[in-house]
Amino acid sequence: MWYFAWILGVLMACSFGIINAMWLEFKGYEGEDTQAD
Amino acid sequence: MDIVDLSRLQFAFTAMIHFLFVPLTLGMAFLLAIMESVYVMTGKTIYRDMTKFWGKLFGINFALGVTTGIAMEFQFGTNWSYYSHYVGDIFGAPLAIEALMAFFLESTLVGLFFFGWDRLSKEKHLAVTWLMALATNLSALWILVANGWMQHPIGSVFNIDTMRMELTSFSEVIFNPVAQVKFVHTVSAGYVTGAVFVLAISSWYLLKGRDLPFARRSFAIASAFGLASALSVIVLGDESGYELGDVQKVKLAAVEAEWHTHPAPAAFTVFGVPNEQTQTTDYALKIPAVLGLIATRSVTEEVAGLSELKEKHLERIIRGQEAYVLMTQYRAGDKSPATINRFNEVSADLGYGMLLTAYTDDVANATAEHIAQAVEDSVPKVWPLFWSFRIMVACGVSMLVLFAAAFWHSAKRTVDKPRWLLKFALFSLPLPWIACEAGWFVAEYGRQPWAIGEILPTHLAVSQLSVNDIWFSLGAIVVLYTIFVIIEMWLMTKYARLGPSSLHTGKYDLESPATVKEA
Amino acid sequence: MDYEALRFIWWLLIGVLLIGFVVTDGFDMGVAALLKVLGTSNDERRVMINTIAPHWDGNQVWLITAGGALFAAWPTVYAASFSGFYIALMLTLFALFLRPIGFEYRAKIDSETWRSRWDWALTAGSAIPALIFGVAFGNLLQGVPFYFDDILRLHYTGSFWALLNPFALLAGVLSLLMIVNHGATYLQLKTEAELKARSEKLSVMLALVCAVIFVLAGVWLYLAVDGYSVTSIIDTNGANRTTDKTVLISAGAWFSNYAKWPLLWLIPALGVAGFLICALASKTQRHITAFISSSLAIAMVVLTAGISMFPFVMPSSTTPAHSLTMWDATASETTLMIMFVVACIFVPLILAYTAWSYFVMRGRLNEQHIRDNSHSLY
Repeated sequence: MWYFAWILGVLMACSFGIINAMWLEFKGYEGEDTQAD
Repeated sequence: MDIVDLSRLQFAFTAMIHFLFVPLTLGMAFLLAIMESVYVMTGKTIYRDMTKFWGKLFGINFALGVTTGIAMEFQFGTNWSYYSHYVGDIFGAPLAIEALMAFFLESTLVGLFFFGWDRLSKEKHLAVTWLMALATNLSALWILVANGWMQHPIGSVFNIDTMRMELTSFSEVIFNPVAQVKFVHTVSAGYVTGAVFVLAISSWYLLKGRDLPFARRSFAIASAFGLASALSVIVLGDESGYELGDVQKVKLAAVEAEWHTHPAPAAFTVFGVPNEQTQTTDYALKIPAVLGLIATRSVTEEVAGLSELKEKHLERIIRGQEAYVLMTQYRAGDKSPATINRFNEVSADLGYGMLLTAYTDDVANATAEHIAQAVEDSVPKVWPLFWSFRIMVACGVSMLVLFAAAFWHSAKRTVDKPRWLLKFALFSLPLPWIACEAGWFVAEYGRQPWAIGEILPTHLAVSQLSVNDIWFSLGAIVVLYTIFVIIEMWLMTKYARLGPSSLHTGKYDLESPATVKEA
Repeated sequence: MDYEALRFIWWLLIGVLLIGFVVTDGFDMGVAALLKVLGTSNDERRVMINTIAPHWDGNQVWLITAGGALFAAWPTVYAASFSGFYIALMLTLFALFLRPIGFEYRAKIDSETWRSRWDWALTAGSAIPALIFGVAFGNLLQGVPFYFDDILRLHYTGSFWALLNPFALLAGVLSLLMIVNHGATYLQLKTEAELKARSEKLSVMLALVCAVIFVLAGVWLYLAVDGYSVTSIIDTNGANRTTDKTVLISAGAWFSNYAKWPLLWLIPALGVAGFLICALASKTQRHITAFISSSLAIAMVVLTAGISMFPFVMPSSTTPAHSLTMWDATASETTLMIMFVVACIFVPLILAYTAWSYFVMRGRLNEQHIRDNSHSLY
């Protein structure tokens, strides 16, 4: 069932993108004196 | 050129141009949804600006996707009318469902995505973006269900009274293994395209030292999403190989330049120069057993070679000739049980009989040369497939490396990313398009001589138009599309150069009064 | 549900989709066709474009869906009409190309020439299809020269120029004017001040002209266009036998359905009434009434054409026995059933979210709003 694999895969890829961005925001982008808002 | 060549050329041209825009839409839609999700969760307006700016580029691309998409739907009827009649009962359904289920949603929401920012709450707008992304993917789903059926027509049967294929099982058509693998492979390729696009342009800003916070964040999102997608394209491409080994043996043999069946497990030709005359591959560099593993998932099964497949085609063409003759007799009024029974026995090869109509109008009395010619033409040319497949794979692997490196540096929070990486990303910009076009070429050219695999030959599928009519339409389409693509690329470059300054928020570099006025 | 019922339902559904197309995409085509007529400045033209900017794309999907549904439900009709009217269809296609890019790219460059070119592109891209669809219907009513060979390949024997005959051109003009009028009634609803006043004035005149042309076309059809009737018995529940019937061409045959069921006269009558009410409502500034009556009128015009030809959808003038009817040019029972279920689920959903998108974007637009949001609007 590759359709099912797609549903899981796309959720995973999007979550990966979101979590990576959130994690970087949380840790703070290095080299930025003031945080972007 | 005759109407068959011209119709094929027109279809190939319109489809190839259409597919310059589709993969970017598929990938960007999810990237926009990711960016906006981060905006809603963190409340940082830079993510809203990212959604809006990349959304502008998405819009420039989307407009041409819609424009060239209309041509695709019209063309089955205008240039492939026998095809439309012969398989419309099955092929038309997924196209109609695509419009009803996906394209309506996508097109309605794209309006709200662009114009609804001030009229919808944050959460509602986010929901619109996600649904838009979902709808673009559902569009792709139904189109690839239709295309999968062309490659591997199941769930249908020939009806001699109506002289066409008719649907017997819609669930077989939907869950067609070829359609499934194709869909996931194609949409993942779209995600990679979107990710490379954002990564390359962000890298350009980083190289120029412009809009750094904006570029870093775009880079991070694109690298994570891209890495996951590139992995899945490659895994699913491999799965496509397995499906081909199962149901499209001719295409597989041509792609791999398997001239003859070799003892299992088959070797994989990494590189070589296919030679049609001698039916061998010169200078071949082979890895033992790998093709056998990809195509059969075993070390004991053989991968059929072209010469062995042609022998089978010869048998099927001879039986198909009989089927064609019986079909003609039946339609002329001979409805005796003997005719019907014999026809039902050989009807599975009717398509192979139809191949003969390319060489003679009198199929019943086709000569041995006609049949030999039909057998010869029953497989596609090897070298175009062999090469385009390898180009696609090389691009794919290169992008995987790019994303792995980009993600590594993004996750390590490297402040100044290495310039080689940024340049690598920038110069990778054309790669996903080359890979996508090469991939579609393999899929569609590899299906020849069939319009519908083993059912309807391409040369029969065309409309009976005049050569002048098609020259006119082809000429006009080439001129118009060329103009459109030039305008699109020019606008795209202009807005990519302007960057987030084009939003006129007053927060970004380059927003001097002069540049503000320009946009 | 049997095959016969499904075939009839699909005749209705194709009608619904065509009506959905002319009623929704009709007004945005009308607005775009009026850009250079009603818009006197860039700001005014931007107001006009932005009244339809969030919606034209969704509206156009009615056309795509009608094409897809034709493919799925009447594959032979789709094949015959699209390849038979090849040059006309290609011209429509080229015109339609201009719309998505026209809307999207027009405001992207701040230059008078650039904008003016796209204004013309949008005008042509909207007016040409409106004209050609009418011409196509005008030709369907007169029969189209085609026949099928022994393996049911279609051969069209006419020429593009033959499509441009007087009756078809009249139908084309009606189609164009009613769509332009529809656009004007939409502008009455969505604009303010002078633009609104100009739209009202235009609608009063156009709606009356449409009513006159519609009646005139009816009289012409009765007096000078021969109709078709099936003289053999079609097995409405059996497999398509597209080429095995006998068909008679005779004067006044297109009016036989009205003779059989006189109540059907209500349809064209409502069409004429719709145009008249639209003119009156535009005159008295009842904008909602004007828009609804214009929608009603164009829906009735489409229905009138369909009912007059019923059960024919594409008669053959050269080989009448090969004419396509809604009984013998359909998809298989299985496909019709599946597509019927799909339509039952999705058409209401589509109507719901389309209505929601209009609700979200409700209200009138003015030039001040355009200037305030210059960089985010079209």
